[in-house]
Amino acid sequence: MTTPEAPLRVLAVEGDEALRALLVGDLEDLLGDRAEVLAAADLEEGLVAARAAADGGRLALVIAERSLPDGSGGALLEALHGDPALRRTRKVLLTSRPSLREVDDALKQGAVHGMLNRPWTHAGLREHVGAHLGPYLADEPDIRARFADLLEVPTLPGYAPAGATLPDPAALLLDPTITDDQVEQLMVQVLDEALGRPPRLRVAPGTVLIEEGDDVGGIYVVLEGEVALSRHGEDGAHLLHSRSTGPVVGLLSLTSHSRAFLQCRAVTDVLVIPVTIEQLGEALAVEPRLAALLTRVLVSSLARRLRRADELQLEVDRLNRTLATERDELARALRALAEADAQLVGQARLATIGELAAGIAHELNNPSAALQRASDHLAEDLLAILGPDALATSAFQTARTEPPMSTAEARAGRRALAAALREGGLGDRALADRLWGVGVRDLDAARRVLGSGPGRPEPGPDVGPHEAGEAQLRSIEAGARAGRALRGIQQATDRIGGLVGGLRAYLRGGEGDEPFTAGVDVTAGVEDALRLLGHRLRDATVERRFEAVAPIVARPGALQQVWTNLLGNALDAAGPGARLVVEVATAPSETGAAGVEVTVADDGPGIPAELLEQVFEPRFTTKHGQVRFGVGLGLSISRRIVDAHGGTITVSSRPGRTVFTVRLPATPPGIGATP
Amino acid sequence: MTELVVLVVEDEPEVREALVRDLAPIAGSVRIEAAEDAEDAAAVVREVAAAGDLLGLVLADHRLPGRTGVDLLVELEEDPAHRGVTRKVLVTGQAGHADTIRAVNDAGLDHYLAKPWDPEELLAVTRAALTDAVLDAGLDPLPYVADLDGPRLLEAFGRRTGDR
Repeated sequence: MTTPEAPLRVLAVEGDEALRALLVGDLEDLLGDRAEVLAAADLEEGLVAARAAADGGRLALVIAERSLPDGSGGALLEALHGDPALRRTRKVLLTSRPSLREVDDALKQGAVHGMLNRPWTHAGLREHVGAHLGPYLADEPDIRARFADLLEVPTLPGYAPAGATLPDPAALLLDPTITDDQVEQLMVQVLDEALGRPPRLRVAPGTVLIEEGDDVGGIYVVLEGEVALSRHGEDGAHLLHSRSTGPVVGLLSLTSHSRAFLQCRAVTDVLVIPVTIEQLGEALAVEPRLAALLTRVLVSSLARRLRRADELQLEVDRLNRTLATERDELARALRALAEADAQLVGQARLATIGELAAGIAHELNNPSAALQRASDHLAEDLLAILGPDALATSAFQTARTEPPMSTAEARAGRRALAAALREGGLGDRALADRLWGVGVRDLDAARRVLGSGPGRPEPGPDVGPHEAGEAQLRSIEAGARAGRALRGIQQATDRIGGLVGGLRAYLRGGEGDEPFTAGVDVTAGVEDALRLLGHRLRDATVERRFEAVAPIVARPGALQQVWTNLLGNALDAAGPGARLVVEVATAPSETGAAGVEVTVADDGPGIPAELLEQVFEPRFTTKHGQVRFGVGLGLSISRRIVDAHGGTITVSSRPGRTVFTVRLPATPPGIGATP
Repeated sequence: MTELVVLVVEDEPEVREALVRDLAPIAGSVRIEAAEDAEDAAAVVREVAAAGDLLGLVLADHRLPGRTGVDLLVELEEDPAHRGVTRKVLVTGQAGHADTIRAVNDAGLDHYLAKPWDPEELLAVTRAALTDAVLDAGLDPLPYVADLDGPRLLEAFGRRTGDR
């Protein structure tokens, strides 16, 4: 044992020259002339310097860098620990890699008392120096007093005063009045007594005490500070326990003889007692009641974790419910978006077609008018040319104006004419066809065309006209063909005009020139439409269910078109003997003011479900050369009108009952009424 | 004498008249009949058969009120009295792909004329079709020779001579 007068020494072992100088400087600043600061650059030098320091002096503290040029700081400290002269020397590892695994062997030997982060802070260094000088000088109060400025606490925390009596194992296990803190205190006391005050280890925040997956060689009794347990998954680290760790870590893995399931890391500055499994066995041999203490710690630690797991399960359930709700909402939103998208695409397509149709209608208007006029002019000029030939002129006019005849009728007529010609000895079937073509319908007319005429020789005894007659017939045929061609042009022009007109009516439907007017009586409009259709209603029964409704702001003329259209369609659909029900009623309106609802129901065969969606789309048909604005075009015009009023038009249909419903607001949104 | 008949089936009067007029150059020896729908066309077919005349060609529009032109042509093809003799031509502006395929496969369609048609092509197709029909029916082509397809007729006769 060295004498009290022997000088106190502190050794800094650091490979980096600059850092070494800095460390020595910082230590000298802290200690002044109270202790001598020595330095070494590597393991070998450190060993020599430490032994030299103990010779004729006392080496109170060694701070060694973890990775020295010629070996590990842990090995140095372990070697020093094996030297009886240096056993009490406090040994601190200076490390930039905060894991205890690196110094596990040294730790197991009790050769490391503390770990200091490299680079260090002044405060950190000061705390460590104080924390280690305190226990080193615990038995020498006079010398210890010199360092009062560094020893802010009288003893290193965790060195509880011995002497508390240990309750019996049953109480240790079951007494609810014994708190976790008391259990820990008792455990520290038992360990101190059994193991002769095992060294406390002070570690910096971030230091890993136990690495996930490692063999656990012992436990850590956490005296001060906080540790956290976490686990590394594929998606990073998961913090599992921070406040629920309990005072002892590693116990669970130790008792189940398994590798560490979790990583244990210091969150704050932490003071722990590392206890190896051998030391635990030693302590248990001295004080069997330690088993009860450990059991109690283990049970309460498990209970804490179990509670935490239960809480987590509840949380998981709640989160799952929230997730499910959100998923459903997202799915709904997605569906709504998809529908809106489809609708938009449809609308965009219709809008494009609408523009195209408007363009075509506009462009066709002029050529159609030109055709109309040209055919009239052509007719006048042809009449002037044909003028002298009365028969050709007559054939021309007949061909132009003759009412249309069915092909069956025409065939029968031609056959009759052929028979008459043969009977009269005037000609054959081919001649009959030609004569029919120039408007000849009977034998007298045939005679006029074939036989009469100034300077025309009598037809010969053979069938068929002779040469002069043939020339005459040809010019009459030309007249008739011209007439037919002109009629064709006329009819084609009318069709084009009809198509263009229909398109324009459709396109105008929504934005017509008619102003919105206040005080429009919807019932009166429906009555007018019924009167207009009077001639078609003779075969039908119409039941009127008219409620008194408030007047609305509307385009009365456009609405008239809607009612006429709906009633006309209902009559068409239901056919003769139709039974219609027409209702006018007050309709609730979203804007507050009551609107009007008009329904037209018919007892017709109904609209096939697959066509129901399409009835409001613009479409038309041509049949027998006549343009028919089918149900669709009228309804699409009606819809545009109703849309322009901010109203809705809907249809429901089953065989025997088809109902069109029009709802109109009291005032169209965004439209001021013209009084 | 057996009359050679061409039947035009078209519902629009102007179009029907235009077709008949464009066929006028062969109207000397060939009778042109017109029908406005499949129903009336069937009546013509019956009348022609009853009179012992030869229906050489049917020119049908696809779009007709009631049954379509393709329906009509399929019926003709299924009728043993006309199969292999009466030629069938679709004159249309609106037949869809599926209809055309059906016309070719099930109606034994001989030709397809798109609207608006070229009058020269219409006449050429008609003459060729009638020539084939006359030959297949075993009729003496002489009465109609002015309105038939001359080179086609000669070629057919050449083949027959060569066969002997």
